[in-house]
Amino acid sequence: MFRLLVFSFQIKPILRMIKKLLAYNLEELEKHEILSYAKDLNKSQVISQVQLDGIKNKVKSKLYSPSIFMRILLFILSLIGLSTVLGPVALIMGIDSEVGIRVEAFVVGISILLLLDFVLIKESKHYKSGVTEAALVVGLVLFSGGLLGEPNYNPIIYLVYGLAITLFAAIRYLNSAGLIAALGFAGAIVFQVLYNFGGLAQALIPFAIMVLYALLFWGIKKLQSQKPSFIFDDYFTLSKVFCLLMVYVAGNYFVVRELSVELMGVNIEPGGDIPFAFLFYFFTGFIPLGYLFYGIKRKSILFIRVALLTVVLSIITLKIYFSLGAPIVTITLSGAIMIGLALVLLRYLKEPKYGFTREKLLHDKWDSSELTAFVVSQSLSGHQVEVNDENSEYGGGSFGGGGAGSEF
Amino acid sequence: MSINKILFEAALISEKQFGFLESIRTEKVVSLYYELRLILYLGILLLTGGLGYLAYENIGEFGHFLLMLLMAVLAGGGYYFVLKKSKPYSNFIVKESSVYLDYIIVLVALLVVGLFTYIQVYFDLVEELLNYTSLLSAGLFFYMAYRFDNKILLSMAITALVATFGLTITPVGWLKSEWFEATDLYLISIIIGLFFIAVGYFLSQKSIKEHFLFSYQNYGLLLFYGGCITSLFVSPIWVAMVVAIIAGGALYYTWKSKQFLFFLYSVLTAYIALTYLIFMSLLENSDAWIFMIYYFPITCVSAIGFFISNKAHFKND
Repeated sequence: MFRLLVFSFQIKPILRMIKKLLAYNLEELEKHEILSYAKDLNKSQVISQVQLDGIKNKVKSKLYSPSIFMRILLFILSLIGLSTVLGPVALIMGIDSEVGIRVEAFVVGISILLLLDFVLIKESKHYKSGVTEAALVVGLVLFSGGLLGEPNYNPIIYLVYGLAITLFAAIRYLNSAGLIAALGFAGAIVFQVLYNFGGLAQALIPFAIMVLYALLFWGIKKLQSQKPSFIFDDYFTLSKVFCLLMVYVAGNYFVVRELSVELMGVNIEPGGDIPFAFLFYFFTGFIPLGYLFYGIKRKSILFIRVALLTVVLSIITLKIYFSLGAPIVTITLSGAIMIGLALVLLRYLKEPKYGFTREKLLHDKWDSSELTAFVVSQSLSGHQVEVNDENSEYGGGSFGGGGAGSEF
Repeated sequence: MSINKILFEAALISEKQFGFLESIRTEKVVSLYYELRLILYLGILLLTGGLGYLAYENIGEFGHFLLMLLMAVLAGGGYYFVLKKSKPYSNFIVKESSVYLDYIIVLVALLVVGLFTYIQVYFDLVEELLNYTSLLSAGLFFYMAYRFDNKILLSMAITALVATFGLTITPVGWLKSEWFEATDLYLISIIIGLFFIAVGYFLSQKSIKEHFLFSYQNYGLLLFYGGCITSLFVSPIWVAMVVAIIAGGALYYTWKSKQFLFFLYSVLTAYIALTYLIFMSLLENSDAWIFMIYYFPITCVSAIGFFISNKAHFKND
């Protein structure tokens, strides 16, 4: 707690540290970002082709990022190629003992990380090229495996190590997966510490986690309010979304109940309930509504999106513990309600109201008509006839309309 | 400094554009386009999914009748609405002004198919009509996809047509390894794959909905390569060589024409076929494992080396 308070007063040094830790040149990153932003604006028909060409002429980025499919291909190939490198090295060096392999993994891991830093990034200017991500993953895994492979340390040591290494990866290489993992490790450490205390401390775990992520959210917001470079914007958004989600998840009745039973051996008698059950009912119901209310009131798309997600999760939670009539009827009706709601809102927002509009203002990075068509068509089927026996149809409480016609 | 301000101060965007972009960045205006469409999509998913199962539920004679009537009315009314709202058919891209009409078209198509399925189940016609259901759905989807210029329905049509032959191209199906339930299905898969590629090519040559070409090629290649890879493991060794050559040719062509998604498919297929071929021919040799240990790092690293040395070819621009 105290450290977190101190943290809030030392934002400037933290920002300086982050910039120092970056493997990339900040200016180059900004140029790269400006160019990709300009391309998106051109796609959204906000700026003209002439303007885009003007920007391309004025802003030149040395960083190298391939198109998405080449990035995937390079990632797959690098992952296979780098992770199988241990074999030939062991063969050439004649390594056959367990310690030898650990030392080898450690050395090869470090070498891959050095290769990433000095050759791929400094020399070839790779930035999110697929090779960089694969080298980072394989390098860290081999390095860590060599370092912590055999001895059984206290779980907390592993968690703290995980936090340190993922945070390093997140900041130095601007890796989103590392960022999420680091935030996850932070929660896991709090969990583990309180879990080890036992007794009352265990019952307080959900609250501690909620407080932790609320504080982290606040800290990230503070960090962002210092207006560091815009290249961090996406990472701020990502971590804020994750923190808001975790505040909800830690207070979700289903999560708390299942974890209490599984990990802490809480015995729930028939008619009884977990400690503080009423609070968790409250959280499950009202956190999503709170997010939604706040999102609409403050016009924050981030809160609105998280609210939509958590509303769905809360409805699923509700359905697990309270049967709301025949499941199929509920599903059908809720579908009809959602269609109705969406259409009403879409018509209502025909003209912008209170700053909300139904029109697409900017083209989203992930918006592709081909991708939408693929995902939507594979989830909506409509041409399937169930000929299975009655019982298997509702298995697992899944939605009926899943995969398309594999039953034939 | 915000990215918009940098562009504005460098005089790269106009003041009006700057104002517009800043109002988005500071959330003075917020677009709910994706959110509302997502709710609409989820609603359609739940509603049509649920309706498909209601036929099995015990909701009474009257309930079933009422539901079928309701579906018929909704489908008919919806179709009328869509016809009225949409623009006439054209061989080219039809840009609808509405932000949700495409999903309504999908909903109507699904309601028609759902009603048909419902009638089948209710009147116990499943056995008789089983083989026609997919074909009829595919026909309806194809018709509406072309009439209303809807890529989602085109994808659904292709999927439904494929399902008629007992195949599934869903990722869900792959995970459950249900892609090929019978062993000879890979042949059908190869043939339909080639068929789709040919149809796509033919139609785009005739300038009929050229923007549909990608869907045909994508599904066609997935089916073709999927069938090829499955065939490797049940066929004599020379098949692997044929697959490797075909995929290699496609690899060369897609690299030249910069179709990188198809290039990705081709590389993976060619690599699998080549690896299978080499390992199978080395199976007799007792020292083969040494070769295998070197094989993966050397091939992958040299492939990466090749790509990177040609990186200007696939720059993101």
